[in-house]
Amino acid sequence: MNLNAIIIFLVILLALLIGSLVGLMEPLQIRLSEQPETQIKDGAAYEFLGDPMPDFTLQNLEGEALQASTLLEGKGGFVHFWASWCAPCVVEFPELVHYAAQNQDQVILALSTDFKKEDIEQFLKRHIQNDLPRNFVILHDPDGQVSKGQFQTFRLPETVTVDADLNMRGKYIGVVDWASKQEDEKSP
Amino acid sequence: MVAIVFALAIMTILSAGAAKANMEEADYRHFRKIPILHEGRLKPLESFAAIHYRWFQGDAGIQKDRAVDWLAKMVFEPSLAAFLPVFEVQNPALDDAIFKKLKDDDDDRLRDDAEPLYSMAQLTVFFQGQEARLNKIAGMAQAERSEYAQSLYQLSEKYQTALSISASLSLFLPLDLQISEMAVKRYAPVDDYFENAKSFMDLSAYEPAFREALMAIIQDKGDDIQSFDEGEQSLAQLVFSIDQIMAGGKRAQLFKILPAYWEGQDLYQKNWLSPWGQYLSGQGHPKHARYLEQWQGMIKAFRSGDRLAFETHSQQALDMVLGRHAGAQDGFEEAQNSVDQLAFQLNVEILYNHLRPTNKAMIFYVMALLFMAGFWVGHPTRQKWRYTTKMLAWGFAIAGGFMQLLAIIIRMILLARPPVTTLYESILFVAAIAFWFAFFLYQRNERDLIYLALGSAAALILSVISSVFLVEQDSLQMLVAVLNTNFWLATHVLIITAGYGLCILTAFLAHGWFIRKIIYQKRGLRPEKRDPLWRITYFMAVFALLLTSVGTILGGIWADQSWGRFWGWDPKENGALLIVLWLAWLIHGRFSGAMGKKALTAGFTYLNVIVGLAWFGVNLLGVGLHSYGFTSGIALGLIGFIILQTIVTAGLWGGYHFLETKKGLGDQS
Repeated sequence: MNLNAIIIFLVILLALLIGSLVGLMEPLQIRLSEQPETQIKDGAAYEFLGDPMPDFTLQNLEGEALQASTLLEGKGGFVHFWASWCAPCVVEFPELVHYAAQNQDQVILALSTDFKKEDIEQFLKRHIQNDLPRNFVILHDPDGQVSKGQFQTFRLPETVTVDADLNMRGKYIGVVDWASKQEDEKSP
Repeated sequence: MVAIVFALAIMTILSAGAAKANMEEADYRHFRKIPILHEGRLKPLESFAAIHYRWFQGDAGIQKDRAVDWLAKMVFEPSLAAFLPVFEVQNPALDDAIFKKLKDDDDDRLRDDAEPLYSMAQLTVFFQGQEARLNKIAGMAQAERSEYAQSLYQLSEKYQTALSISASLSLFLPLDLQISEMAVKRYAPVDDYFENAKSFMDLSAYEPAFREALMAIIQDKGDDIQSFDEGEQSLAQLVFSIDQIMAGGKRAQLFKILPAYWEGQDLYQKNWLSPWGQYLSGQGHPKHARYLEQWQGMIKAFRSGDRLAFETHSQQALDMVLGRHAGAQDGFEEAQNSVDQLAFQLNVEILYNHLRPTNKAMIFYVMALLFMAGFWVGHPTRQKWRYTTKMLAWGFAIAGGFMQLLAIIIRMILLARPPVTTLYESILFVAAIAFWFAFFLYQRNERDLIYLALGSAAALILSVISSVFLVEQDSLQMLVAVLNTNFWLATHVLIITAGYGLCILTAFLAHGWFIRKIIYQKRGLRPEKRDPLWRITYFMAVFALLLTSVGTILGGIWADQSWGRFWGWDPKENGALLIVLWLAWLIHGRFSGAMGKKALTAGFTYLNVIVGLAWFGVNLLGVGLHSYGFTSGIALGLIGFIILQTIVTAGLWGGYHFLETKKGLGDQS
């Protein structure tokens, strides 16, 4: 075996090493996290620069058809999913109404998946003492076309944050502590 | 075991409708590419299907198309898929036990004496009543389990995985839940219940009302169902069935086809969700709605045998998840990059699956070896024959080598990392090193076919060994965190495995030297004066010593950085040292004149065993810090190989020694 052959061997090996090092200096893909998903992520909050909110039109309790984009555009706010039979909603709903009263610059669309309007009215009578603020709009989604069909919300209550340009900015799963949220927003 | 209850539920509850026609291979061309997160890596559904199908059947050679068809049946038509023979049982005692249990069962659908594989339905019958036993086995360490218990446990693992897959889309499958009209009239919140409640997803809208009604009945009458009237019993049955499907859904977490869009835009930076996981965790996103509509379209099309609709929906699903529909990724350049990268990787993986370069390499090596045999068998005067066979052997060997390289390159692209990070990949790499160095020797040494033959044989044998590691796992595995450094993977690991490759080639060359010498002796030919084969073997051994020594030292430096010590007498470290010491001993034996050519070359042939012990043997010990490489189930094979190599080495040395003594034509070593 002559010197040339040795050099060629070493060159091949060096090329292999350099190729690997230079070509693959990107961060490695390691295991993507695979979290167990079975439990409801109660209170989990996701925030990111999101996709456009799907637009929808539903009736309010007076039977008037209202378009979500018209109500939210320029102001932003929340699309809240709830139902009268949902136990955690009993706790959260009055707090959300109070939050709306304190934050008139935001619009809150509360979509109920109750089958009957009467159930919603009864719920309001039982749990809300005063009139609803003007920026708090209850919409009726009896067959879940919007809640389930468009937003894929199954574990009530859930809340989607929408900005003034109608982009979704995040999601809360489960009950939100609206009183604390208000404090947070007030603090500098 | 909840799984068994759920399995029965699958076969009964989800049995509405039936597939009208089987899909054909072409109908799956988009479906097979749809990405899924599995074992930490995004991969096409085709790979997901093949990994499970061949794990269940214990056969690495299964066609991908069959696996894809099986997966489609499992997720779209689980009530029929439950009767497909899929599970291999190797343990004879376990096989007998299942056979006996099925024989005792009256259901004719579960009897097929000629079929060697078992179906999910058959295993459901078999596993009934074995929950306590399985729990006990699960609590035992593997070493404490009997062979039967281990086989039973492994079979139950496969069975549970299959159950999980079969429930993947049970949210959307047509239900055959029985509820009386009386119950509907009393408890359903709407009049058109029967028209609306077709699947679990539809039914979930009514579930709160039904559950509330049942709670009221229980409060009133207690929980003894016998005290309920017909309508109440029907309601209780329905709620029970809903709970059963939910329980199954909680276990159906394998089918992670939904990107968790709330976690950001980069497809690689977030968790993915199964449909049930999305439903249960509340991470539903409007994009899921549009994507799952396509999946529901696929379900409908598959079950009605509408091939065109199936293809359309699967194509739209693929386009959607890859963000190809209009406006999907506007303003998200980073996301677009990740989507493009995923689309590219899916296509490359499909190409890899279909090309099967490692299999092709094996075929080409076999062909090359056959033509080489033809070359040597042919009479030296038949120039045309010898030229043709040599050229063909050369061509096939090169093709085999290129396929091996292609496999390594594609895997580097798919996994974005240097070529060797798992035991399987190390075998591919060592095979490629052995072949290409042998090819180089062939080109540099008067095109003596012996180099090409020995290189091809080494690569072929290593490729066959590598296929053993394909049955139980995905060959494209993600890295464990301890190995997550490109620098060390590209230096220590490549150098040490290149050293293994040269050791194996040295051993094969040493075998070749003995064989050639024996043939020369038998034919009464005078040995070559320069003996280039021996000189090259010796040079390769020196080069292998250099690489394994440098590789071992680099490994120590990596260990110092990762674990805080250079050397810890870890089995893997000792294995690497063993190779270095073996080579150093032989080479010093030659330097000092204590070893003749024969003894030295016999020592080189035994390098196969030394490398085998360092490479595979230490992994079997299951101790030390290199736990990411632990293997099991190859101990017998390794022992058999050591015995065989010992016999071969002794036979070659003894045979040559005998002829040499008898004819006196030996080398002056």
